[in-house]
Amino acid sequence: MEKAKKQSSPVMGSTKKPEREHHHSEMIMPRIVQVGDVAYAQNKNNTRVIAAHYYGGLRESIGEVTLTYYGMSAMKITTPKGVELFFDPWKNPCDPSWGGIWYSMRMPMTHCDIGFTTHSHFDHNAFEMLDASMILKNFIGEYNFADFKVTGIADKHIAETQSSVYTKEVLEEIYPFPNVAWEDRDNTIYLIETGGLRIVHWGDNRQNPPQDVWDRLQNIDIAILPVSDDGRTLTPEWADKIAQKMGAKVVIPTHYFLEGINIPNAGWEKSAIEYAQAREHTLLDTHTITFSSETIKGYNNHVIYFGDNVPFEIESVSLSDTNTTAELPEVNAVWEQYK
Amino acid sequence: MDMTKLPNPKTWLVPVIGDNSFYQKVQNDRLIAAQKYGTIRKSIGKVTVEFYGMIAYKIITPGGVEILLDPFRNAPDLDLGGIWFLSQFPEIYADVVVSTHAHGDHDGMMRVHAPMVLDRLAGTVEIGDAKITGFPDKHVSNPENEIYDGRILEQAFAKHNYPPGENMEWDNSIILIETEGFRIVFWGDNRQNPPQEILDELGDIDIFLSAVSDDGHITTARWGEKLGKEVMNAKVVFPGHYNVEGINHPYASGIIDAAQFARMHDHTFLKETSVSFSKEDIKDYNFHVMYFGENVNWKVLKWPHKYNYDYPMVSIEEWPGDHREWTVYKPEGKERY
Repeated sequence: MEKAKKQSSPVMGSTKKPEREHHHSEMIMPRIVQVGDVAYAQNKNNTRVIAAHYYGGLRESIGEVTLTYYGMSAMKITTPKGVELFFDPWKNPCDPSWGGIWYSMRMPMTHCDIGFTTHSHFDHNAFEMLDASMILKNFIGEYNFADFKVTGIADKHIAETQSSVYTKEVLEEIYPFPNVAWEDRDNTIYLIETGGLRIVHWGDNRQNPPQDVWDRLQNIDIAILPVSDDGRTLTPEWADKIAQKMGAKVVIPTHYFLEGINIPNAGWEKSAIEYAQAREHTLLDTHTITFSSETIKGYNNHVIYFGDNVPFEIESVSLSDTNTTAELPEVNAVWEQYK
Repeated sequence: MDMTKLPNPKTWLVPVIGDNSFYQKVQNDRLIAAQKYGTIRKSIGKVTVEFYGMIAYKIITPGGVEILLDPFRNAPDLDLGGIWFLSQFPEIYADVVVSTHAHGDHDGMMRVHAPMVLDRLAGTVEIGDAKITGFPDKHVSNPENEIYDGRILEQAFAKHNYPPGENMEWDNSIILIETEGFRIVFWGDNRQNPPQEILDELGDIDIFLSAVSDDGHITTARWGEKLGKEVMNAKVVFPGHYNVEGINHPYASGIIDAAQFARMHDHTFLKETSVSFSKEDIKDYNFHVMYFGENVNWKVLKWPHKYNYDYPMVSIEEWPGDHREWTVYKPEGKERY
């Protein structure tokens, strides 16, 4: 007799494999058609990066750092001297049985100079969608180039969100990744220092990293945190604690439900609007914002919310819209010529 | 080993483009240690160089950080020069994988189980006792060897292959690794004449991991000597990008070995698959060629068409035997249904 499910899966298309042991004692590995890196197919070349190498940037400093939101946790950070860093591009999983289909569209192929990923989950690792000169995958260490410094701080992925919906049991049930005990439990927190600002991209890190990680994350100007109203990754309560602990002047929520990009109920339900509105906040009507240390001087945990503003057209197809029957085209009887 | 006893693995087939590390048995704990304590082990004062075939080298710093350079694969698209390799790159562990450029013989990162990848690096990365600097430049387009010139190469790949206007696969990053006073340059497939600014920044070096083979399809012996000896004053040079039987396809790009290049200089034919030395060990060397030959740090299956190997012979009656699995369907008491 089939075992009764403990809790129904909120993820559309999720098919938990019955063979999977609860504590991963036996890992079932996929047979992979390994395509791997596809940068050879890129049309652009490394001219911009060579210029940044020789000249320390690509333009005179504009004195401001530019942030552009691309949905999910994807953020492009442009340094004052014009170098474009991109964090956490997203895609649907290679195999829908790994958590189902999450997105109703693809993140568009996007230019940047350097692509970063925080960890190897599909909502963060689609570096093949970046037209980038270089990729630093799950980077750990200190990286200096042109007018910025990026520190990759290695820690672990969140496992227990403490949200009312996405408990550890539910997450384990709905994400039957082949490898949950291994790299897919790692995460890198990025600290980006440029233009006099200290910016943190949290990835999907756990809420309670060890003290030596916190020591590196002090006096933060901008914290990009995966917080949503349903607490899919960080709950609003944990986001507050983290922002306070880092002394963040500005908090930018990411990893929330965005209509047209995220499929409803595919592991999320809510945006982060309630989180933003319950705190000192600014609701943006644009996908791009610039910051300098001067403009955020008086802020303390001020939430700046991009909402559903992204720099590309949302072109998802909704099947429910196609409720009329299309006219059939007339067939041209080409075969008559052979009569 | 009795192959009939091996179970069919419980697998499902998944095409993976891009990142595949979610299924690799690897965690970032060694790098957390490097980040926390500065090194992974107490320094042994020596750098280790291991060879994996083609131009794949693993550098192990004195403090234990394992950096794998340019693992290979067959390019996913056979139009990109056809099949180059007879063997898949081994699924080994490394702390960091570095790829110099987007060609199949250099970007098989997905074969390596590594918590982090630096793909086409420009700028400086510091992790543990390693400082890795990438100098962005261009791929060789005219090798000036005796077999083909750049125009033939351009025809073979059917792509414009030199600046301006080349695409990403004709770019290359030269990699400089600095650790405990060692300066190690990994050339990738870089052109022979990078701008003087890059050569000035590279300065004098200890170890030159080069792309020199006797056919010179990337770096000719002449260019290798000029770069390594005259420009960078390398103490030790390792040839790379040469033919290893069982790994390289014999007809791919006319590739041969680098024994002649080694013999032209002070040299050591290494008998092992890895070599370790301190700064003191190599202080008197001047462009000393250390040649791994076919000694790669994994088991390569070599087919017995060229040399006689001692292969075990088992009779077919003994192994695998005459197993008639279909007899479970045999009708009882008669020959046919």
